Amino acid sequence: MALLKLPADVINRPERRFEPPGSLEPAWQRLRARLSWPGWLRLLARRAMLPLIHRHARRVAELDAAGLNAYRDVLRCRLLAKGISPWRTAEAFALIREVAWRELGMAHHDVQLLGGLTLLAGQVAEMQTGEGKTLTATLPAATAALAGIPVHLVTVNDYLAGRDAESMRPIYTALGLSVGGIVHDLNPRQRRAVYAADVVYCTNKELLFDYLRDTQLLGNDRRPLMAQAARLQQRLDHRRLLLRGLHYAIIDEADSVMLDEAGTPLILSGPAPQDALDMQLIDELLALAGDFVEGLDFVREQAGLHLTDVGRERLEYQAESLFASNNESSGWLGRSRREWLLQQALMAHYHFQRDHHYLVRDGKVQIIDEHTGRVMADRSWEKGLQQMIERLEGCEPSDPNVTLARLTYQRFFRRYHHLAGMTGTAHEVRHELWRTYRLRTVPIPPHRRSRRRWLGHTCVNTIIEKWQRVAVHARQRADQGQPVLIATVTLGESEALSAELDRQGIAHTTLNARQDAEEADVVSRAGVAGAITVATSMAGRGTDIALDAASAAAGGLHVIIAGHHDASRVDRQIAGRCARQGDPGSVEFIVSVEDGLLDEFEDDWQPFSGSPVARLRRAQSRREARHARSRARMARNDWREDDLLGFSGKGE
Amino acid sequence: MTSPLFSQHWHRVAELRLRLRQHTTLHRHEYRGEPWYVLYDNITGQVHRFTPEAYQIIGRLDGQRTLHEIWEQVSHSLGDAMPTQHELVQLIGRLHSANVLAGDGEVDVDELARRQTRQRRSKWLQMLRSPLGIRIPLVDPERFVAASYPLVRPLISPIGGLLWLATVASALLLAAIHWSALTENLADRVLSVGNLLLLVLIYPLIKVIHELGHAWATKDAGGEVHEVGIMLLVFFPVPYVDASAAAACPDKSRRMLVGAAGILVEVFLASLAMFVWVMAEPGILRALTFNVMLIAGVSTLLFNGNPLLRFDAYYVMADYLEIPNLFNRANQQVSYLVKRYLLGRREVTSQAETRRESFWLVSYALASFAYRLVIMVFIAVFVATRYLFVGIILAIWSISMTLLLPLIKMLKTMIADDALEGSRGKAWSWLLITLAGLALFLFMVPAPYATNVHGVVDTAAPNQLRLGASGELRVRHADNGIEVRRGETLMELSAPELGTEVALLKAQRRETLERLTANVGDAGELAILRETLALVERQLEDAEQRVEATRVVSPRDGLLLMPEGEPPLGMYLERGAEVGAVVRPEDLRIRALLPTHRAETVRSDATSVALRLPGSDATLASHLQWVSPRSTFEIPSEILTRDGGGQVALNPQAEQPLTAFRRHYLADFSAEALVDNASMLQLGSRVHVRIEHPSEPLGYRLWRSLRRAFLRLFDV
Repeated sequence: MALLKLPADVINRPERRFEPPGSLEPAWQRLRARLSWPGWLRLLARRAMLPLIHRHARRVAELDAAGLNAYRDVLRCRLLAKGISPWRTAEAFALIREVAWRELGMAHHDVQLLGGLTLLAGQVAEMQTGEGKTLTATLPAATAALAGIPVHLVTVNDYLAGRDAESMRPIYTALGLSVGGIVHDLNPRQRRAVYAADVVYCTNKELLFDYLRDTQLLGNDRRPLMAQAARLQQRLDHRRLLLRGLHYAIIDEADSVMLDEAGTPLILSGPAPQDALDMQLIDELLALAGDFVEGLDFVREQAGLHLTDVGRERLEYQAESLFASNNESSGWLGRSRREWLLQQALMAHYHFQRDHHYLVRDGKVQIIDEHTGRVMADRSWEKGLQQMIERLEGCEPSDPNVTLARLTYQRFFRRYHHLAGMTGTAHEVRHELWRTYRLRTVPIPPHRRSRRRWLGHTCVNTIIEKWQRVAVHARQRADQGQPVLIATVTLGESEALSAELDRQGIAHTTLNARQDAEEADVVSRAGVAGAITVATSMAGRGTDIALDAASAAAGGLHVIIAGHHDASRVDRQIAGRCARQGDPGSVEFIVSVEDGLLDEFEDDWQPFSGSPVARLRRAQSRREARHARSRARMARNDWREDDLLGFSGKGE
Repeated sequence: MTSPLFSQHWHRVAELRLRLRQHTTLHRHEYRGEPWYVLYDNITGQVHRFTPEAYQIIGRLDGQRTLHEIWEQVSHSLGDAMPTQHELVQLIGRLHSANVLAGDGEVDVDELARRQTRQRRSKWLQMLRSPLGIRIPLVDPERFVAASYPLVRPLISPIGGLLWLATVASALLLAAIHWSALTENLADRVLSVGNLLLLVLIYPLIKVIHELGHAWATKDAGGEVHEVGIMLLVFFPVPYVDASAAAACPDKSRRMLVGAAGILVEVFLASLAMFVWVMAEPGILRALTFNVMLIAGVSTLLFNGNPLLRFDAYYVMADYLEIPNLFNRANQQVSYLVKRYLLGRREVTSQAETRRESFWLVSYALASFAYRLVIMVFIAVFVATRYLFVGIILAIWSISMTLLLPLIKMLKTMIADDALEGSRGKAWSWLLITLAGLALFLFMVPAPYATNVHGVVDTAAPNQLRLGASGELRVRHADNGIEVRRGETLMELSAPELGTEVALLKAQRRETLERLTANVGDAGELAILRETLALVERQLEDAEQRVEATRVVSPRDGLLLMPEGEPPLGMYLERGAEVGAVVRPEDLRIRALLPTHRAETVRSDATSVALRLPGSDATLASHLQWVSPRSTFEIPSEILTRDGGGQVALNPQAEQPLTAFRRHYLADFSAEALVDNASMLQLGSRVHVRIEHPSEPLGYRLWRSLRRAFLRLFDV
């Protein structure tokens, strides 16, 4: 993937077009994923660039402010005119490094320069947490922006997008580049202005939604030529378009954004027509579903509920009587419709559980992300399921929505002409990253040697015992002056643990993934000696836990991972919270044989073989594989359905 | 599981206003008592079949209503049978890929281009997949068919049918009368070089008429034929027509007629040829008509008339059963049954409406698979033996395409298909159980194993009974197969001339003696007479011996065997003729020829040997005595050759008589039991020999014979 300079405005929106995979392609890519240069070889080539950058850096360091500006302008002209070359990249990196030093007092380390080169090459840089990924990203972002290429820096949450944009703003400003951050609250006009900036910090969701909004506006005139024609015919108001095409994106926490969140497609929805919802029908359905008996009328199979023949007959009978009583109720008309509706009602009744699948907060039902345990504020279930659950929980039913557009991250990110990513944990998924996004992974060595101590596993028999053990361990560590971070798998668990700590009278802070400034604040204070913080895996991602002097002396941050997560890389990412940049730190696992992960062995012959820890590890790798399969399946289905829907003319 | 009512992609299609293209027409058909709607594309000649529910939707595609409106309307009108959004999207997708939809300018151009390239590619792939059945379209015969149709139109009628029936019936009658003349030495006549040339010339002609039959019948059914071409069937060019337009015809019998037209025409041709053959003098005309009969009658019925191959009869049968697309649906039904009942999946749908239909589909799928497999192996071997190198490659190719590809596909499904998600374990266990069962059966379960050969009764130390004198058989004292003692008189010959000769010689001797006494003083005369006397005495001695020899005596103790049978009384037998042999039972043996690949097994692994005389059910125990150390081409008796009713093929090019085509080992088996039991043991008679080996699983044997077959076929 060469970094190309392409026209960039709202009409000429360049984006990569790619064909559906042929029949042999998946197998070929599977093979190619394994056939790659080893990371150290790629790094070796890049290390050869370092002396060059440093030579330029020495020259740039001698320039005064005016000289630097002049140098910058000349370099920018050259980059604009001739594009990016290794030579000019070295000069640009040296310049950016110098600017960062002058503006922020931080000069890029060698490993950060290597990371920057990797990102510019369109690869995934695997850098340990705390190595300064935000600063690293400025190198390729600013270089590309200097060459006139719009850059999107994608992060996981609004807070980080805003924070990174602000903290790095001085560098970009000093380079004569404009920078903006997309956060949820911006109105379309503001968004347009931000997207017009050279470098845009945004979250994956906002970016994708904005892209979908644009496609809604463009309709079928998605090719530049057609868009121009539509504009001339005044069918298209180009001033309402947001993005300027998909040129170059650097994705922070690439594994999380590109894989974990790719499990569900993003759906842009709009208000449904008035008559779409029949509350009476929903009430009748829920009443009927309440009467159904598991095992008799319906069965649980393959993570779904299925009506049995008895259930079908019963529904038939019920529908007839209801049909007779109010002859206008069309909701009961049609066998497949009523069976489907009833299934939804059964799901609402028996499958979805409060505090596991959803929360009720301020009289509203909010969905919890199964992966992250985080509340997804803007999401709602489709087609009446949301209303059913709201009804069951006694909330005011919300207005129903209809889908306007739908897109998966897999499809979206591949539309970028140039894509790069950085993360602390990519090694485990490097093959999948190649298969899905054609991205190679290059591990970047840490700046300083890690002093992290792995203290191994403690295994107990019950969940309750686990929380007790966690509390004991946390108290011991805190008494020694170490700050303690306890990571739980789900929100419910963190609440249970919090209750246990309260019971034992241990002072602590709980982080419920609200991903805002307050959260980051709490996280950054988690490094104070003796502090105990309970958090889910996602909470406070991207924020450093800085140690104070006392805690560093006491042995640094102690991380207790209370239960393996869905993927081993999440465990690794949590462990990465401690012992950053050569600090001391320790990690331990406290698990129980009742952990949810072992569900993976349901109807399997090997649930009780091996030690509990080995079993958990096995369950974990099995779950990872299952999730990877389901992502691949989704991508395949996506293509297949796309093929089927060729007549619609719409891509999303 | 009910398929989801709402489609996730509904937003992409809900607002589309689609209509059917102008060049399509809808027809109502009935299949197995159910109404169906058939959409016919006038341009491509493609036909698509839809249920009445789908028709409710298709009928509403008028370019005015959006799909969402149509769905709402259809949901209301159909009630319980309403389609889900997903089904509707699939239906529209199907129509779209059939190129019968027009939108309001919202069709994705990229997608169209992609579809075109894909279609082209799939044509190429089709060719690659079946190198033994490549289609090359040539011309559009529509104008010719339209012009000539009025000429044949009167024939496609009940009167035409009667005419056909009368002709064919009388031709059959003639064939029955001349059956022996027709079938005499068939293989030689058919495969002679001159005849093969004639065949090659006539074959395309007949097939053209055959295809024209289809074309006219299609025209009669209201369709048009737009493609005629040549199909390379095992490299042999055969014309074909694309008569798919006939499927739009609602009348089942007419559709069947289209399918059957080719065969009807050819059988008719064959009948006409029969008449000419009967009347013609031997010569080129007769040979010609004979070949027409052969191709149009026999080969047509064998190939086109076989519903298990996808030729004419298949279509006739599909129309008769009212199961269109029988082949595909049959296979889908099998996979449905597997998924539903073996894997316990709930979301799959059956192809069949009734149990009966399901039965038809499944039995067809199995039968046609087996048949195709056999045909394929046969063709592959045939091709491979004819064109050695290219042939082998082609054979391997076609085998891998018909056998391996489905296997690989199945494996891929097993490993990676989403449709199996959730029951993968079950699928694998079924597969493994089946394979293990098969392997167990093939390689673990011992099956009886034996070598069966023909043998001939032979004797180790021959003691023939030759006649010492010529004469008529007067008395026979001993019968064939009985025990005789040495010196026992077996038969007596009557040779009256011998007595005369003896008397004459005796008189001559007396005369010579007399003259000797008379000429006692004459020394010279005396010497002459003495010599004469010696001569006469020798002659007398000889004659007396011959007289003695008219009484045939046994030279030794043993069993009198007469291979040629007992000579009748009064038969004149030449001196020196062999009338039988006296053998001792312990000298008798059964000599057989073993195929080279069995020699070793027989030598080392024979558990028991059983003998059976032809025409008798009783078996006698025996044992192996000897196997020749080297193989040979010689055949010990004519009775073992193919010509003599045995198993061994003669080498037609050999200079020596009784030379085998392949090498064999000689083996001897003891004949004791035979001597004890058989009432009619004859030297040189046939004995079936069955050599039992230890039981061995079938798999090893199959593997060995497969290896051998390959080695022999390709002479590696």
